[in-house]
Amino acid sequence: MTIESPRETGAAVASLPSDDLLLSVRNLRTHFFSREGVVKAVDGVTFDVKPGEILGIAGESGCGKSVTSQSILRILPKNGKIVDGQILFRYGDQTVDLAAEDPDGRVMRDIRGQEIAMIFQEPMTAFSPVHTIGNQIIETIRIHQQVTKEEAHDQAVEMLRRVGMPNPARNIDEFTFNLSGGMRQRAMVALSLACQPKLLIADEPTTAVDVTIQAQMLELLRDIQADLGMAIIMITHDLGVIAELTDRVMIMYLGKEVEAGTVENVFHRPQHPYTRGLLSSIPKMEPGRVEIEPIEGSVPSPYAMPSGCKFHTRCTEFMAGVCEKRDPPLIEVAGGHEVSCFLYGGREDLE
Amino acid sequence: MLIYIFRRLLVMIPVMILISVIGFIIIQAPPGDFVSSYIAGLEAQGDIIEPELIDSLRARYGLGEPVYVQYWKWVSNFVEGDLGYSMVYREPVVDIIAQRLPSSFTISLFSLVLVFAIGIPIGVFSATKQYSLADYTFTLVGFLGVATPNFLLALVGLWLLFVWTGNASIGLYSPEMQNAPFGPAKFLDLLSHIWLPALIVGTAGTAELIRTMRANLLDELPKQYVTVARARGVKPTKLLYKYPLRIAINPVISTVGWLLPVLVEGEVLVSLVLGLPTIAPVLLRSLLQQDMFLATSIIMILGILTLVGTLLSDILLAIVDPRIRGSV
Amino acid sequence: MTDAIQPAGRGDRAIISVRNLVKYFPIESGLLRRQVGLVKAVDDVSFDLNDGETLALVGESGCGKTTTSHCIIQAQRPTAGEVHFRIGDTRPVDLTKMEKADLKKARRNIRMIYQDPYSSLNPRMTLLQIIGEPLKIHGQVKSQDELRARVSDLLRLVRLDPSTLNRYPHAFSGGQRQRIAIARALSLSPKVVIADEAVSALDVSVQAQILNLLKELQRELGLTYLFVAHNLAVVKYEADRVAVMYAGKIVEIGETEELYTCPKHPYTEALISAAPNPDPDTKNRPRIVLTGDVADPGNLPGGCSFHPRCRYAEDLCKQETPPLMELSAAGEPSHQSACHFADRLSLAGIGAAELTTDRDAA
Repeated sequence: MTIESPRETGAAVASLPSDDLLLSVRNLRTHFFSREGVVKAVDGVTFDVKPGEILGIAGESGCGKSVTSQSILRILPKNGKIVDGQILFRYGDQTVDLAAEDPDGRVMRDIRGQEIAMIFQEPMTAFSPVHTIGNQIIETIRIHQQVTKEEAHDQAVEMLRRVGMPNPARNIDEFTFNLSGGMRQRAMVALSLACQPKLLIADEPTTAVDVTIQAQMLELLRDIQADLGMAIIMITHDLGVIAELTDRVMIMYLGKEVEAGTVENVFHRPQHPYTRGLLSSIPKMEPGRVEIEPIEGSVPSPYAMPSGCKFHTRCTEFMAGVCEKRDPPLIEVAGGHEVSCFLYGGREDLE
Repeated sequence: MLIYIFRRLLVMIPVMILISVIGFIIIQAPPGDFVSSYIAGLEAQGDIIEPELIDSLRARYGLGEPVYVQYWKWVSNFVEGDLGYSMVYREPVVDIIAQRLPSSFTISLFSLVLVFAIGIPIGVFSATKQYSLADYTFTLVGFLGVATPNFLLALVGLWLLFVWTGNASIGLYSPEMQNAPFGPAKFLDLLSHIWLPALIVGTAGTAELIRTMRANLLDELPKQYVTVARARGVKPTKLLYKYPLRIAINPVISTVGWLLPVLVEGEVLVSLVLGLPTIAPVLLRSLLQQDMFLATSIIMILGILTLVGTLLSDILLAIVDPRIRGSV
Repeated sequence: MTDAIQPAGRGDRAIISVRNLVKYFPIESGLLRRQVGLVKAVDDVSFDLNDGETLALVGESGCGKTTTSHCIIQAQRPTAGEVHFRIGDTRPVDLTKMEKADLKKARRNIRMIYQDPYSSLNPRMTLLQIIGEPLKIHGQVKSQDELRARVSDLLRLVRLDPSTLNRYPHAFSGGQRQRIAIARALSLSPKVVIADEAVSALDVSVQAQILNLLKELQRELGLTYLFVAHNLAVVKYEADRVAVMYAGKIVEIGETEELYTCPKHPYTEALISAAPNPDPDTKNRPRIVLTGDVADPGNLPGGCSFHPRCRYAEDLCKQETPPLMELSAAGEPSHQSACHFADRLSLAGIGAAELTTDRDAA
């Protein structure tokens, strides 16, 4: 199924390719198995996260961005399996391969919430509706730290204060349905940051909220990142949010990376036809008339994936005899700016 | 919370009135006034009726007066505990019910406990192991449980009991314990007898509960707060019982209210088959013989019990679910 | 009322004139479910929808934009106010006073497209049935052959393959489903289409297709759009004029370019500032991040509803509700704002934001 030799599960000592990395995802493949067939939701994705940096992962529905984040935390739905690849994470002074760990084992449970935390799309449903927000924040603290209830309570109040809750001492005993939209967002951030993790994965945290609340959320993430210094993986379909918040970005399409680099490079000098298409499809907040140009067609069904380059069915630069033949290689076009497209090489032996 | 309970109580009043009107209509339904038919019935059996009794009955129920006065008299008598006189048993209705209701109640209560003790764990197990062999088995058993009539189960139970013990009479107590004062020994004796009827009466309810519990939990498990809790490092077991189970069980709590009358109803045929001294056979007999005071009183009491059951389950629900508390 | 029926000056191109539209929902509480308050979902809204234009209603959730659109097609009956509808040179009719039977006729000319292309189409009906249903209901076709022909034309109109008319919606992607919904909306050749967040649920590449399709159809068929949306960039692209709503009121209305570059209401300014822009160069621009939440239409603050979040608010704003006032001189395109200080404040729009940055940085 894969070109590379299959990874040995529970491989002994993994090591990060570089010392200054926090997370290194290598050739990750996460597939979903169902009666209708296999969906290769993530199919060979590689990226790194440095401590304290903000990485954006962007793409349209079905591109595998959310599955990537679920794979890192090993919280995939039951029918999802990591079939190949490594997820190397710096854990204390050692490196663990999260892909090889037992999803419900000790190591994963310790890492979740403590080292890597996640915020989700719907703040309303992030909390159990029958428990107070304090109950859940304190629970998280006490899972990971040997503290008394009172100490955990104080820490929780402090975190609620940091995320800008108006009255932390009172808010801690409230249920989510009593909070307004903006407050719920803040409570959710406080919940995930309760143990001051080194990596925060934000999965579409601004999608379901209004513009002004979204702006509050982005400001909060910027402030709290400056305050606590954790790294953030921002997963979103909104390229505006990527441009506003992140340092580097990876664009995905149908489970593959198509382009990655600094936001400036990717947004100002997009190389992949898909990236170019995406950027020209978005209406801009700029003066004057700016035309938009959609990408033709729609995202193919995950059960009927195109061969070769996944984008070739919609690509304006399609080269017959090349693009549909095999996966394009990842080519570095500038420092740290990678593109997965035959336009930039890798087709020599095919022509 | 108090406002909530108070409002629930207020809502109960018109329902109670409605039930009593229906009860009154049932009493009035047979042709002629019921004292006459009562007397006719007695005379047909060759009894001699003292005129004083007839007069006192007529006065007590306000016969000859307008219908609303009759209704009012009947209702006030009912509230005071005078439920009328049973023609079939020749006893005040209150006495008959007082003899029979406790055993009915005991069986229902035991069934209820069994339903919950069996249904909830199996439902949870089925949901967590969805599409496993065990899940399919329990689903099948559940369907059978819902589909098999109680009386059939009772007959099979009776036959098995006879084959194994050579004794086909169940009763609720052993003969020697029948008149003993209630104590630990009698309770144990009760347990040794009641499990079969309780199990049979509870089969359908258990099967239903397994299905409800499984479906509720399957609804809750994929919800985001469960994933979030998992992403915070919460242990798998706690992940199940602290969050989704707590919410999935809410609808189950609200079923307590209607489960009670369902159990009583299911008990009718089972008790007949097993020959148990419960209220159910009395209800059946009174209906067959048009013993209207007795029938109506039993129906009324069951109706009131249902109302009280629903009230209790609603209060329970409000206690466990802050969303309901919050909305009142 | 008279000026609504014979609108003078700017209003004479109006196909729909909304006048003083009000929609309140009662809040009930307590033991006896007594009415304890009102949700002022739409509170005295007036505007004209001109023939052939696209007017956008923009605002955050709960601002009343969707309720306004529902009150126009009488899917919800307004509490008060008038909605005059006029085709060509005919006499305007007030939809709010119409009975059901007459409304059915009027609704032929005002159709809606909804946000969710997954739930708005009946999964058990073929495209022929979905798109043909309104034609049948309104008795527009005489035979099955005619129906097929009409539906095929409609599919072609929305750039779908007419040979798909016997297929079911599940065979189509989100964007294609939205095309089906548009074909259905256009089946009765309406004059006005109300698009309620019609592209919000779509992926960006597909969203762009639908935005362009709507524009093309407008040109081809001379449609008038009321475009209800929350995404400011999308509205900027699609609309000729924009009405910004906050807490049940229109706070600003004007031509799109003018409103985006020279906003005259602090809320518009904040919305524009908050909208994320896919340009990393504007990453460090100063933003206006509004504090708190959108005003609760069930418990509105006194005076101007926006004053608790407004950085320019003064005492006057707490006491008096500002009316929607005309700001442009006669002869110029109308630009109205409901702010006491609309003519005094110099607010930043798009483009201007960068200028402010430079000045601040210097």
